[in-house]
Amino acid sequence: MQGPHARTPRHSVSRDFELRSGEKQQVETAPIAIKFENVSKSYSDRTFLAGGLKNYALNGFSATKYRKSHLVLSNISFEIRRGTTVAFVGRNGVGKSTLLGLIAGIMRPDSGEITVDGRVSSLLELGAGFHPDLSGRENIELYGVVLGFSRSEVRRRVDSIIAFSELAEHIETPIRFYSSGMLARLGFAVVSQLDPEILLVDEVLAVGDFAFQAKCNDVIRQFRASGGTIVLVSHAAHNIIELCDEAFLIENHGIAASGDPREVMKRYEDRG
Amino acid sequence: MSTAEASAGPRKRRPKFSVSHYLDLILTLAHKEVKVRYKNNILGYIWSLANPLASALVFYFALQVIFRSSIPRYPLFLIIGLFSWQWFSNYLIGACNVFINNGSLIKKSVFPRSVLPVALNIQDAFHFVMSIPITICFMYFYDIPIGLSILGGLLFLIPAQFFLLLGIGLAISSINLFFRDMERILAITLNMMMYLSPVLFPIDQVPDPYKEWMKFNPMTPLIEAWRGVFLNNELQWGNIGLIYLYAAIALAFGTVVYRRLVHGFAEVI
Repeated sequence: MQGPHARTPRHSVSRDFELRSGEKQQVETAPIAIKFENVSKSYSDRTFLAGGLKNYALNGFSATKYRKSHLVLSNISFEIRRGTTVAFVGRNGVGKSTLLGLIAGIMRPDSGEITVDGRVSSLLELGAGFHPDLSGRENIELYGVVLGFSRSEVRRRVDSIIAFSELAEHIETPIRFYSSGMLARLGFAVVSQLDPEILLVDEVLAVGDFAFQAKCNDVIRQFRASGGTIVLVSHAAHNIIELCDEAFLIENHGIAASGDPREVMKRYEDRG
Repeated sequence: MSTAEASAGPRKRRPKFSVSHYLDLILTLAHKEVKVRYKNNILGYIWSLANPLASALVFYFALQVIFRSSIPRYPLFLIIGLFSWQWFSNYLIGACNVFINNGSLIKKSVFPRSVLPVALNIQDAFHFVMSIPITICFMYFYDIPIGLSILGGLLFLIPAQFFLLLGIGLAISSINLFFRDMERILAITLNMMMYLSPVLFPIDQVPDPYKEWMKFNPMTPLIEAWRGVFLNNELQWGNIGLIYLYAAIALAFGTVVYRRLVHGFAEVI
């Protein structure tokens, strides 16, 4: 069975702050990698002047009370421990990607507290930072630096990235000539070879040909085995059940179910 | 929780972006832009000069040949103003959309967003520097001594223009995300400003009450100072000081606006 108890966490257990949490079982006391406390997030209709020119003239940039807003996540709390693989499931538009955006620090919550401990790399959209007119090699450097690595770090690993992507013969070609599968490979290669501590994956496992998908899954498994933390958003039940220690079902702005991925997926599928 | 928020903001995380990484990012992005610009067409360098040179030709024809203005060495006079103006207007037009054009980056990854307008400015500064040899060719043609003050110009005027533009650019690029009409307003403003800056005429020819008013245009001291450098081999410290004052104001304003709006960027793109 694949539960949170299946693997020994990378870090040992007896630290002060962990002991304080009382009667938790030993294996669950790996340090917390991601913690949400009462996090709420809504999007405001911030097309400027939405509240009328007068309101902006009177209130300046802080005219929040005149904005309409849609609630996305309300009062969400959870903890993800280091070394676990966790999935968020739920219907489209329910706020899964918002959640990943919050973890990555791209957005700020309206209220509540988010603590993230570790270097986050996101596979939110493979190759988001790629420039079509630059070659694969130039894009590797660009993307790596944008992801938070120094130029020298990226340069040192550029060969292993190219090798992983299996695109060596096209690496000097501008990537506007790449197919979407090739782009995905390049993006995944950069992220996977720059060893993050926390990996956010947003439905990207479905790209690439079969062999490359298998390779991606291998990387994720290896990353997991070496103690990395993974947060996954996916609709593929077999991926979730196979890879994850825990799953969260998001519904109606909150967490509707959490725990064993098999059961959560069953509940999710039952509700259609 | 409220105390934690007060002390460290709602998000506590290790600082990820050191100064050296910030520089890495800026250089990589600026390098990328320059490379892209020159990669698509072999004539990249010539294209970046073609526009101001063509304008210079037209203004020369209209103002010197038809209206018979009597400014000496008018073509040289024009291109000095036009190259500096070109940096100004190209950068601001580009900055207006710099966050929108890099929307996918902003929505999907975490990095200090301010690197984008900075990198763009470096790219435009680079093009400006590349235009200086052309100015020097014109000087040679008109037998104007090529003096050391050009180095002074590089040293003092380029940073001044850089920071002035960066301040304005930070503000308009941030505002444009929330108020997309900014782009139109900018286009009209730039169009008017060009004729209200001493690009086509020396400031001395402006009649008296207006002459003083024109000093509030940051481009006035800048263009005058560039002309001093190239035409008279002099550094006009009064004008240079004034530009730095404007640059400081612009930077302060731009930083305030940017910091106020930056956290909403990912949501409005």
